[in-house]
Amino acid sequence: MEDETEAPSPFLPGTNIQYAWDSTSLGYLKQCPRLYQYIMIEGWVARDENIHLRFGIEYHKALEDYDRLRADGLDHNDALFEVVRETLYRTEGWDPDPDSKAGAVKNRNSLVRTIVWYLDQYEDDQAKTYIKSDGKPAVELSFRFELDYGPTEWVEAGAEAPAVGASTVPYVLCGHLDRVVIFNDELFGTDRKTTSTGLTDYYFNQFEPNNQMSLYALATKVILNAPVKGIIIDAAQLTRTATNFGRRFTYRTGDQLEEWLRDLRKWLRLAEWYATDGYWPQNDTACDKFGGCRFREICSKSPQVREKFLEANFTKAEEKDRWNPLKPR
Amino acid sequence: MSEDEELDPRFPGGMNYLDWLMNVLPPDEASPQNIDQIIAFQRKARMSYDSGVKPKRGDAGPKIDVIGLGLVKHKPALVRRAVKS
Repeated sequence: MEDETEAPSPFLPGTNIQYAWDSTSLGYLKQCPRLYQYIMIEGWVARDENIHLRFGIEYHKALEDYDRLRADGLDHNDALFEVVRETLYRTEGWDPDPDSKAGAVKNRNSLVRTIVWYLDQYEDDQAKTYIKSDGKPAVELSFRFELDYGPTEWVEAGAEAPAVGASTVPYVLCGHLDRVVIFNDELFGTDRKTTSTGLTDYYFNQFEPNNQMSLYALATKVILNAPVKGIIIDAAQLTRTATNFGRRFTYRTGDQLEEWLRDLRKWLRLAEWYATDGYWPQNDTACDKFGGCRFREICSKSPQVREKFLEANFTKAEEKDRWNPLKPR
Repeated sequence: MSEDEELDPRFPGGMNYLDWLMNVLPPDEASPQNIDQIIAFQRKARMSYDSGVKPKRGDAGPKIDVIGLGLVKHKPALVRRAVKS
């Protein structure tokens, strides 16, 4: 699963000023600057995070392959057969620790189960993959677009000069859209999620408003240059022995997207300020949100011993292995 | 051992046929029939789940004598996961 080509850094050279942003890194910043520091600046990774990451990659790859095969004219069973076979090849030797919390529900067996169950459930999907003007299906679309401003541009005259050339680099928004579909004659982006949380209103309410869904709605609109109604969230809840599915729509108006972009400018400016200052404060009202922050135990310790606890409970990824919005899938 | 963790006596280390297909059989040795069997098992498991039947590991896989047919080539030493009673 190693990526052969090394992606460029999302940071301006020699600084902690991030110029390329995806919904994940922006979400960390918005949730808690300290969380952003631990993951994006310092590269701390929870020990079982790789299991979630690998499972997500394989799940998305399988469904993407299925969408492409169906668009090429294969019927459901033939496409499913190919997808399962390819998944078995790709995951040969992948053996997450079944005694870990993540490995108990996310492993090779549950991956194949979830793929088969999902594709059978949506065999006659009302949401049809959008076919782009070049005749290709709109699946797994990587997007990358520049904003009309960049880091340091807000620096006032007379302030300390930014890194050489920094002001010429615009901010970049990037990410990956799972699929664009036509549903009831309207255009929607699709995002497929896996979770261990029950698929209740409580789960789906987190997507409205939501940083990732707003960015994806915006990206769908930019990529296709067409009006987009919103995002369809296709969620899969995994347990040890079964997978449940749920689908909800989250809508975004043009005004909402403009507001999101307006707010983004403030967030990016704030991120730059933290980076310049070299300090990312805790947002201690967010520690119990989202099922509890993974760094909660660290932040609850006295500052002088946190590094020791980080080293004991997390691993520090090498720079090339850290979360990087510019890393191609 | 719980009722849900009944072992299939045909397989070493408490494996069932699906375990063997998924974890022992190298993908490049898997026949189209093997892939079909994996999909069929998953579909059967889904039907059982949808009808409210609690999944059992002992239910996994088609009931054929794969050892008798010579389909099992080797007996890997598998560590059985701890089962909380």
